[in-house]
Amino acid sequence: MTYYFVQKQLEKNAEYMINEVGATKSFDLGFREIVVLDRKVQVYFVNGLVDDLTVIELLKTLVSINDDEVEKEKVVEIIKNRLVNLQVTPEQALDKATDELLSGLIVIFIDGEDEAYVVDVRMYPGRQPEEPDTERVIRGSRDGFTENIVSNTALIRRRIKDKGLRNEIVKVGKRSKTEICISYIDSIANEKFVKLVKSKLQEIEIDQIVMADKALTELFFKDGWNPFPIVRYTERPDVAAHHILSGYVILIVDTSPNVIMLPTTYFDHLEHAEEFRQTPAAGTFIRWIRISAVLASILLVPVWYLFVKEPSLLPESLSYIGPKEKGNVPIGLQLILADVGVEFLRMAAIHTPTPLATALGLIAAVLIGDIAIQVGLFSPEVILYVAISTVGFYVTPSYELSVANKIMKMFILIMTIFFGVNGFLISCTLSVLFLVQLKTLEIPYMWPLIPFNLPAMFRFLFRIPINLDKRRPRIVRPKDMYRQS
Amino acid sequence: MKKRNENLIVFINSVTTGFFGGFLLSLFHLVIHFFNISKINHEMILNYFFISGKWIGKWYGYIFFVLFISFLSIVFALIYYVLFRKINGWFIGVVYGLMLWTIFGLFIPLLFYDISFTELVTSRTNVATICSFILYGVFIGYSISYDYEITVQDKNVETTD
Repeated sequence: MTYYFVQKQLEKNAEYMINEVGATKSFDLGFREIVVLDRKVQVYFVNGLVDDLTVIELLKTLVSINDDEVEKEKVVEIIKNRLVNLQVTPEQALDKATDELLSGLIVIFIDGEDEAYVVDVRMYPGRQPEEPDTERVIRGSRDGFTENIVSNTALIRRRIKDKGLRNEIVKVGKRSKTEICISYIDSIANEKFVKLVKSKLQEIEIDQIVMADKALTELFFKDGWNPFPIVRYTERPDVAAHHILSGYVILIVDTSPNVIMLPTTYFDHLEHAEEFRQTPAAGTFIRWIRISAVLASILLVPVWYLFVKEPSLLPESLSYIGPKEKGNVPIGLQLILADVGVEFLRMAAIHTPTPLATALGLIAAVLIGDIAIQVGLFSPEVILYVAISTVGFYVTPSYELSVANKIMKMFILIMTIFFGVNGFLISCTLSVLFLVQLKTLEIPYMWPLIPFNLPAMFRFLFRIPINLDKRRPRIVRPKDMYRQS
Repeated sequence: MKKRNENLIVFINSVTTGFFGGFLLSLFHLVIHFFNISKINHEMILNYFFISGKWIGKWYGYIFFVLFISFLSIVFALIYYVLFRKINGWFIGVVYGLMLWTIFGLFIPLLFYDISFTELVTSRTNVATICSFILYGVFIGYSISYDYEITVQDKNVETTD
């Protein structure tokens, strides 16, 4: 029979543990029975998740009670006093105690008591904070988030020592019971927003979210086929801390080094930590180049195709654009094949083990391109523009956005191939309208361009010096509008 | 008192929005004329408003064109402000843009130039013009509506903008 509460008889608790939880059946879930002042005490643990040395110290202190004390009536208080650890909680519900046990805490049952003690001695296997691959900066801190939720919150707390910083934990997933930490600053973040986030998280009913952050985003927003990222991910604690201080809400998912930042706009994805590590003028310069690279990556290929198809569009000053000789394959088809080919190369590069990657990458790109030209499959201009476009995609700071931009570019390109100038104009308008109607939790995706907000747009176009950046972004609707400066 | 102050803020913001909307719209028209997509010259547009002269073709004519359209669009932003600001959402901006297009892109060419209706609607010039007006309408409309929504309607915000 299943018990719901901790029983006074130790044998019944042991029976629950062995039958329901699989103690002693799983080799890594075991227990240790010791006798303290004539009372039996059982300590349950999971082998890989606890810190062995701490558990041994605890057992030592428990056993030494036999030598030091004599008052048998007060065993429970003595044991509680001697459980020398930072976090000790009494627990009466067996299922909650089991959840904690399986997260790496130890559960101590005492014969004759209907409360078990849960002691936090977790030590998860994991790696040290390292700089993330996708968010490198030339100058800046080189620590990054890891898979351990506790150390991730610690990395943020190091940067924000404000007493208003709240880290609330919610468990999602019936079987995985993944812990998700909601981080925000109480006096800055909008209360309605935080409540909305919490309630949406608690509404999620699913078995497991082992693919952590991405699955969570999909369940959260139920966005379907929208390719554009509606949250921003980061692996850098300084970026996360900056966003928390600006009034955003951060979700840290256990077992994932990526934290989720809400809410977000299209323009958030075009900013990068590097711009803040340089002087304002240099940061502005870098930002403009980045914006033009992103625009070029989306629009360059369709516009070039338009000029090839209808040379009448070109003013005299630009009439050199366009291939001189007629190729064997229609240009539109060449462009699509080149794009697909680049995707092949990219996927191959990811799956290739590192020693081979450099060699294969160079050979693939240069040789294949050259051979394709000589065979007559591609004309050189096609390869040039596709290459520029691809490089533009990698300049995009947010990887998810570059993939979404690729899809948008393919859409515009195909419409241009089939319908000419009208197709280009209409597809561009449709793309812009699609972006405009997207909303992240009631915040428009293209803010501050559409809806227009001059100060925020100015702040996006120019990386203004920190002492002039007095206000928090309006879309997060913060309680405290002004940064103190 | 506070409500009147907030309405004033939305009013001023819509003036700014109107200016930038006109700025972007005029630049867009200059670009699509440069690439021969649109047959409408900035001279022709200024002729609608009875401004003509040789000086338009020179470089300061272009600058005048951009500034003129920017200030003119403030008027249209204010018209939107009066009529539609309380309607939330972006779609009303599309409707407003199409309304403007029927006036400027449809009636005026039909009245003043002899082009047939179908030729007008499907020509490349016109597709460009419709798209530019739709985007302009969304720009102006969504900005003003959203501004109104979060400044006046949203009672949880205590900003002193």
